[in-house]
Amino acid sequence: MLTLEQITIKFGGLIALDHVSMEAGAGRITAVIGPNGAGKTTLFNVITRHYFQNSGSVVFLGQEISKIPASEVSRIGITRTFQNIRIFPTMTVLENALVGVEPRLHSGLFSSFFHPPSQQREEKWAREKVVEALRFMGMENKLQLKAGSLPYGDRRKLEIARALVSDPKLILLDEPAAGMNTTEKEELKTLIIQLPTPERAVILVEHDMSVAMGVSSYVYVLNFGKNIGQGIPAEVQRNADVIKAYLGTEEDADAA
Amino acid sequence: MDALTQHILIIIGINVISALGLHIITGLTGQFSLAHATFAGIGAYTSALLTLNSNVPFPVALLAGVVLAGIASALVGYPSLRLRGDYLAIATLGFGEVFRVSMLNFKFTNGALGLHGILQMTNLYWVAGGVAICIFLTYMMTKSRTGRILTAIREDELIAESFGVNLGKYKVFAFVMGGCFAGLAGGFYAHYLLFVNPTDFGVMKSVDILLYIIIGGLGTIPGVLVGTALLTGLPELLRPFAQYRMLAYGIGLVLIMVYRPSGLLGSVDSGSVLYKAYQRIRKTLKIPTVKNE
Amino acid sequence: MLINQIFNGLTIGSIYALIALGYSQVYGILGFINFAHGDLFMLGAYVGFLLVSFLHVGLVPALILSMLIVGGIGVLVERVAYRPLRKAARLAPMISSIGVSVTLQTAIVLLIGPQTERYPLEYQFPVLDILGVKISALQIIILVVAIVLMLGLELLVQKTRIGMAMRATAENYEATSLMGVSINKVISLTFLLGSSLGAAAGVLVAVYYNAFFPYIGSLFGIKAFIAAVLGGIGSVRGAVIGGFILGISEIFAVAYLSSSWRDAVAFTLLIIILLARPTGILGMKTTVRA
Repeated sequence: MLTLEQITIKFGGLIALDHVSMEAGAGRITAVIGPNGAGKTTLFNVITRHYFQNSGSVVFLGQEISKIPASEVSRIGITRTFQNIRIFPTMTVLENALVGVEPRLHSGLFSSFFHPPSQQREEKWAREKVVEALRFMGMENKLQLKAGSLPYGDRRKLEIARALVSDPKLILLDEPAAGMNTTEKEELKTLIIQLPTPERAVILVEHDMSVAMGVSSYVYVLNFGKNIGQGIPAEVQRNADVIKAYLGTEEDADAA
Repeated sequence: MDALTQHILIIIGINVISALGLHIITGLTGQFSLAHATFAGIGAYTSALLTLNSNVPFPVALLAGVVLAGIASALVGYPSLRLRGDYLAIATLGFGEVFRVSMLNFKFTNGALGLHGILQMTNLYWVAGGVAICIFLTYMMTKSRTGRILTAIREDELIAESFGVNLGKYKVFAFVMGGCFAGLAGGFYAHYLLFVNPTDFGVMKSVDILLYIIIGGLGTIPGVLVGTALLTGLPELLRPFAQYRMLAYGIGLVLIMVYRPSGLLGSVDSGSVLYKAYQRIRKTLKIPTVKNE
Repeated sequence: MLINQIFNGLTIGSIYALIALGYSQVYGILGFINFAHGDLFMLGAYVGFLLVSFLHVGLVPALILSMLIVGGIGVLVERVAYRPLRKAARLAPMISSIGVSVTLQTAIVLLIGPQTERYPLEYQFPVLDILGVKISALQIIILVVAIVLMLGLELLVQKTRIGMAMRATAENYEATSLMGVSINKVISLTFLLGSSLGAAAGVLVAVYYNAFFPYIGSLFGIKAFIAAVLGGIGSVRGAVIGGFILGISEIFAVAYLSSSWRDAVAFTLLIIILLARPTGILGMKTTVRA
């Protein structure tokens, strides 16, 4: 579904991604792991066209998408969540998720003054879709709450629901487990596992090894912008470089 | 109804129309504009020049003012695609002042003397009708896809854009709709006070309108109504106390902000009550409705 | 002639710059437009006037006393009207500052009256002939005073510990408390400095134009604020550059176009610069606070 080929991106003199290649197929979860600053989020920003790679190509559904502007990415079926949750705080849960349906709505500006039947039908369809997604995330009784008043875990779920309703072919999840406690993490894992379909791929960027290893069928490991290992979770866990990269950062963390 | 009450109601009504316009631009969409009085000025000058110099009927003159104010608003709103936050406010302030100085210098606007002898056309019925239409349009728009997008832009425009929202289209739309409302208010104003001059539409007037929408509670229609009624009604009532009312006004602003920083009503959505009533009326009148769950 | 015009421009520009510094510093640290700043400038003119007229203080001590008194008033305004709003939405302190502005203007109208006042000065400032160019001594005095004050501020901001804390606060609000400096102290100092520079400008303007009135703060305030934006808000040098650019271009517009379009020049300049460089000439990359 998505193929990255030899992506290199530099900021000033700093190489953020160094010839990184990866592939994500439909029906499964592909994880990208690595210590902080390894370039995981940068990778997402390249896929969503917020950053432009210096070399390499991004191919989605057989089409090179490097020329597509960021605002069009959702229309071709790519959507994402953010590491630092980005919801609309004073809008309700329902309204937040409805923004996710945007790429698929057509009603015009003029009809918003008079709510003609065609627009009402579209709104009704969008609402049903959104309620279904929120029910899937276990939030069907929080529709009218202000998103800003939700507890942390629910905000994460709302973000995933909002991404889901745009009916994406590719969902990018950026550290969804960050800041969650163990129970919340377990709950999240069971939700994430259900996201891929025969037409949908999921890429998960995660710092938390247990989540990444627990849900993904294939893992890429980044360190300092380089791909230092890849394979099924069991293989990666035995990879000496990976272990070193992870243990190394933990030692640094202890020292600091 | 006695003359004073009628006068106060008309002034409040005119200001409510204008304030609803700024509510759409700033309250809903989060685009900070200090050129709002300018749009009212364009409506006022356009409609007044038309009724003064030719036999154009009042409604047509009003409409012309609305259209021109809308066009001007689109031109001023365009930089909003490039500028954010306070920088947008400052640029709009610049546009407003250039307009004011131009009105002072042009011959056809009669410079600093302004326009005199405008026909008395505005009355309570016209203003009430205008207020009703503007509240209706604002309300319906807010409850639609468009309103949702405008709010999303206010809250986090990058995320809105990442879901395919065309930021430019919607920001300019908010400016145009808000500018049209201001133009209507300006037309009513000119044909009520019967003279206009450039200082009526300066930056301080724009700041006044900003106060109307913030004091009541930014982003809600009831907030706009309460804020405008309070800030225009009270000073009119207290007119006999001359300078002391301005002192009270100044201190009052500070106190309201210190004790209720998000406005008198905060951000309550008592508007949804109105919406349900409207849906009921629709049902009784058998206007085709798709049932909501 | 040309040199004279440039000199006129520099004089008025230095006054814009003095006022602009107050807007710029407050915006840099607290992130809101302090509408009351122009009125503190106005108060400066009035306090100096009261000292000279009723206490028969000399002009120089009056200037210094006015700076101290208005500086104190600035600190007080921040305590009463802005500090309680430190955590509120960004628009709240701005609205509060509009309230302060109206209050100060009205207070002066009620206490002293709406009429135009002038300083009762007996002496005439001589006109100097420097290499054939005739320049009023008053202009030179204004320029020197303004430049000394601005250099003083720049030294304070760049070289002292508290100045460093001010810069740190402007860049990152939280970092300052880590430096062991109280944010409240830094903010009070910012208001003290900004208000006293504004007051100095008030006295200078009142003497230069030989006239002032309660609403003069709005007039100069908006211009000075634009100067701050032109130069890049938050930066001392930016405010100074912006002030001079605005002053000189205005004087040239009056000399070569027409005085009635004078005000349009400032604003046209503003729009052009903002569209070309959305955060001003020396502006930071992102000044917008989410």
